[in-house]
Amino acid sequence: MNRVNASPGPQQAALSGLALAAAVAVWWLGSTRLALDQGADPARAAAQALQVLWALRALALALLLGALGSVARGAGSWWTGAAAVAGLVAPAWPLVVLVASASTLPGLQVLLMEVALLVVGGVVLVTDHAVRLAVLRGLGPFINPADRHAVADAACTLWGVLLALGLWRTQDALGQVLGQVLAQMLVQVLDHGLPTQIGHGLWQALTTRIS
Amino acid sequence: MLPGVTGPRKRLCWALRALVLQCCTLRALVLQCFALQVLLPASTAQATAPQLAVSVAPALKGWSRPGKTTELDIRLSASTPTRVRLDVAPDSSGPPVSTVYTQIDLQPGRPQRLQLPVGAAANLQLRAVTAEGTVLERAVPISLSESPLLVSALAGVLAGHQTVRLDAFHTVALTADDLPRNASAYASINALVVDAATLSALDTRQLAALLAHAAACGRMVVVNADAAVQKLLEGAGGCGGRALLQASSVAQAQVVLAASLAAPVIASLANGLPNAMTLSELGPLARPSPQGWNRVALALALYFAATLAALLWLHTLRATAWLAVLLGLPALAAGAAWALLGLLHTAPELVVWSEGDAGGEQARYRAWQRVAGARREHTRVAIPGPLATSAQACDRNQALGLEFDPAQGRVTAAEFETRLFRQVLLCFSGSFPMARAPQLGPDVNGVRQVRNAGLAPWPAGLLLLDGRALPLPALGPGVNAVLAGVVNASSPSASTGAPATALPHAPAAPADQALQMAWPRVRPGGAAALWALDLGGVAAVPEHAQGWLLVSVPLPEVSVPLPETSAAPPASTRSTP
Repeated sequence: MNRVNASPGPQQAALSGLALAAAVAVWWLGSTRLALDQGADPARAAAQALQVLWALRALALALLLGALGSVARGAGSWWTGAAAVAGLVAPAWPLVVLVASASTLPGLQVLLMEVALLVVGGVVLVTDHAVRLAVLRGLGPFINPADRHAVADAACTLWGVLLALGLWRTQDALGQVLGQVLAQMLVQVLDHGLPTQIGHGLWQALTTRIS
Repeated sequence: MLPGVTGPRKRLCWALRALVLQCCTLRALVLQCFALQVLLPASTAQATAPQLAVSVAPALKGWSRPGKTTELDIRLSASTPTRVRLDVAPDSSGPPVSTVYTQIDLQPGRPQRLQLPVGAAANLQLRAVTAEGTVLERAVPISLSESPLLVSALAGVLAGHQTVRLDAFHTVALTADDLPRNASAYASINALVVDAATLSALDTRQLAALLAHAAACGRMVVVNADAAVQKLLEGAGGCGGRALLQASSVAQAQVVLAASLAAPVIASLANGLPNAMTLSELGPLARPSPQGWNRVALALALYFAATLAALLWLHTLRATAWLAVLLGLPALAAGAAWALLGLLHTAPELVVWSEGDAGGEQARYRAWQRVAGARREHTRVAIPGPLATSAQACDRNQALGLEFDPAQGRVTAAEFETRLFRQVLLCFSGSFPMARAPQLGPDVNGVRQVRNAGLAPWPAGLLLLDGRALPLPALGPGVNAVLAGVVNASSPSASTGAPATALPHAPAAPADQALQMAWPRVRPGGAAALWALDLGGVAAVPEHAQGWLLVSVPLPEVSVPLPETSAAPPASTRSTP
């Protein structure tokens, strides 16, 4: 039984995700109360809270996942990295439901943003692994063997910082692109029908087998 | 004939040939029947599709002002019995705005006519859809005047001879049929000059709308009013009748109207009530309840605390278990949050603020109905009947559907989209009959008397005098009472700033809020009486409804004592709008 007692990855990620969500919740509740007292529409605060919540979690994924994931993968597996992604993203879901109910953003868009965040987490995990391998194999002959993993961790952190900066600069465009891609996939499935596709695949297999 | 075939074979061939021919004939018959079966319903449907005829004409010859309410006169007829839905909305590509819709049953040979009050826009679009799917659309252009509108409705000998003109006003000459049948449509005009001949040509609904406009301090000059008209207009004008003027000629009407416009008293009276579009003057009465916000904050606090405890407790798990926990728990909590939204529904709240003058027959009111949203959903709210004449969204950008009931001739419900913490406010304004005539006696050694100089009793209330709130006892008509027992309710500017007197028949906290609202509205050097309105008898009033009536009471200029009590002991009936 492979327990990860030595790995604080998922727990730390979940605590970080929870702290982020709590901070945004306090800010959203405060601005909503002010808007209500002034007779203003609280939808603007809700829209801002959703955007901040998405951007903060995306940045946290890029910055923290390298360190958390590398520690976890040292004693665990890709499951640990996936759990760390879930720990950073998922604790905010109840808040997202409430904030989305108070905003004017379409529900499907909010859902796609959450899915896009999970996709970003997966991309960060894979690229982090690739950077680590590249450092270990490419710079291995030039680095003291005792310092290889430290250098790889530093490279992952640097990659995370670069990724965070890129996400911060392109969060709107990235969100739109990811949202559009996922929306297109959803539309394709709904238009052509998943049962039809399955039926088409079965028919192809059957005809091939018969022929 | 088949060559070389004879005998039984030949007979068999002929039999087969006959069978084939019969089959072909039968097939043709079947096909014909099938074709008839398919085509008949279509042709029948085409024959039964109603021929719908719609004509529409705007009131006031299509003139209105931006942001005001106007009226569409719609005539409908159909060739077969059908049900028609009418939608009227501004024809614009901008954000969704208020629409008015109604449903009406049509019978052949019985054309229907109805007048819909709608918000004025440069282009209105009328869409009629029958139950069978027939669609007709009509575009209705409205002339929006930037200048104030002066309507001249002069018939008989006055028509065409003279025209009333005022500087900075745009004059529109109308006939009796052009005048609206909904009082709210009079919001389009700023002044009206009408003669007795036009008044006599008005139908019942037009006359009722005109009188309601006069009661709401609409500026109006009646030319050549005979005895019958004078009797009709007696006591009909709001603001003490100062906005309802009379003249013997068109020239005099112009002079009288100009003088009326120059008098600041009339202007301040007509605009004295809180602005329907902003809630700043409504102050504490409009403050939304924080109940929903409190529940959401509590739920989030519980979630974060529980999740934190669970994370600290679950520290020895496998990676897959962590993944399941970290995805499952928030997903469950998100479902619980969605369920919580269904529990946040609160009943609509209604606030009515009305004002009148002592002895006046009409009180003007503004009312606000607030609906707090809980989740994203389509909400339908019934509108109280007496308030329906001027129902509209306080926020012009709020998309709103108003259902008009042709049988009742009024708006009966409003539909709109809500979301969490979204406060949708409906605004109403108008007037209602009032019978309150408090009269104050002179101050004799610090003691004053109050007298019910009217013909109806009044319930207990408060008298706001000299920066103090005094208990005003319930009094019958002609009954005097000594004002005594100064209570601890005072003007916020006087001393404590925290009036705490409860009005009878009203909870303490709203009474405080009503006093805060009333103090700035007491005229300098005057007094005012404040009563709680009993809204219990009004149809479709929300459970949480509060209403207030503030009546201005003049102070006596000379030390003439009030007459002695001349009627029965005090009654305790309550005012009803």
